[in-house]
Amino acid sequence: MKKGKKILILLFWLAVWQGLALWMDRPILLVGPAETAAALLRMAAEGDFWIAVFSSLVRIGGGFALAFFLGLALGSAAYFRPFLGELLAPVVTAMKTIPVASFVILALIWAGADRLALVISFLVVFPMIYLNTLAGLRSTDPALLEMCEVFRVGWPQKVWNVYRPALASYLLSASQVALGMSWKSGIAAEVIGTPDYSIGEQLYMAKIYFTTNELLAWTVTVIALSFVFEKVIFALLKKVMEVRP
Amino acid sequence: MTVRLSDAGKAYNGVWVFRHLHLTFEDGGTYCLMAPSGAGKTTLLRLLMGLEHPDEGIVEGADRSAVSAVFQEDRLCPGLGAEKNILLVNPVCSGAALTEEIIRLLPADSLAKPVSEYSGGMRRRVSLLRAMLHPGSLILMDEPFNGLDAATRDAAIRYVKEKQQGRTLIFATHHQEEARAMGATNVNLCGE
Repeated sequence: MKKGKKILILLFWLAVWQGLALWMDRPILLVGPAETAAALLRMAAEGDFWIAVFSSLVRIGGGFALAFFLGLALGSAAYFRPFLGELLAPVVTAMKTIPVASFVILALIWAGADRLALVISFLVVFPMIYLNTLAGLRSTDPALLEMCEVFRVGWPQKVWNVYRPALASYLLSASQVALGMSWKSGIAAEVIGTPDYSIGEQLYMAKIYFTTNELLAWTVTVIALSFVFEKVIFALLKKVMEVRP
Repeated sequence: MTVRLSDAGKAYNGVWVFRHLHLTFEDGGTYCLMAPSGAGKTTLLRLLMGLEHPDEGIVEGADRSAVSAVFQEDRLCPGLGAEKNILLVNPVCSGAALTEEIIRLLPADSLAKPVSEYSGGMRRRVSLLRAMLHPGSLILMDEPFNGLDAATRDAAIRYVKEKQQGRTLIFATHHQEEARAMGATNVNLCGE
């Protein structure tokens, strides 16, 4: 889609939002994009805003990074040592199927409010990365592996040139979904756990005091952070997974 | 490297592909396995590559650490170019010399492209280059000139002969003219 068209579509929905806010005329229920932007600018001028943003970024980003590297490592280990895959299967299935809300309550008891977003982000991302690593490695062309065996290709070369391209599409698509999910689940966990200096806490406070403009301003902040986080991490991953002739 | 098969046999699911096979491939010789489809040419090459084990008899002298191969399929990494595919199995090849070798069999403008964008014949030539530039002393090729037109095949045969450099070469083909052009000794696979 062309950039101009994208901007027009965005402007259309902002106009719909503003029109809806004007029609409702109940700021406690809905404020328009202008008031939301004003609240966001006011909040961004205060140091606490950036502390909350940074803290949430560290918690959620940390959970994602931990899940990504552990999922990649254990997924690879399970491919080369199938017994490990069988051993981990019930745990991964549990992580995949247990509702996030149950995990939130358990993690709140075990890890405390401060680490809740990190734990939840980890639990949501890990199964996606682990399972897609396993599926990607299993999709490696066996004929190429045989070729490597005959020519006695070294491990690092084999990993980089044979396994990595097979893994790329699986890992990239899983990461794209996981990046968005880590923010959704991480912020939800923060709202429940309300750790100090977090976006979740600020969202919760905005709900308590019915400051809808701030609630929407924090929501816009989360959307922007999630968008930038996804774009940056995905671009980095794409660069690493890219196969150059 | 002299390779010897004594009373060798290989079966899949209880059906013998060949049995009681006695063959000797002398060091530095060129041998052509020519037999109808299903006679066991690929199976024999896989035995020599160390990818299969004989169900009876013995295979001597096929040192797995000294094998170069052209498989029935090209078996190239699709995202890599010709140069990187060759470097993958032979990391000591130097850049400029390698480029010179490649353009003897491939057009120069193919160097920047991944092999997935090559024609079937070009990919076959990369497989040949990969095997011939590998330092293995036993070269095993399964229908190496398949998919090449007459002129390219002749150039590829000349290249293989030049690069053989005293190494043992065993290849399978259905074409008598390829065996002749390679100056190969025909090998009969009819053990039993």
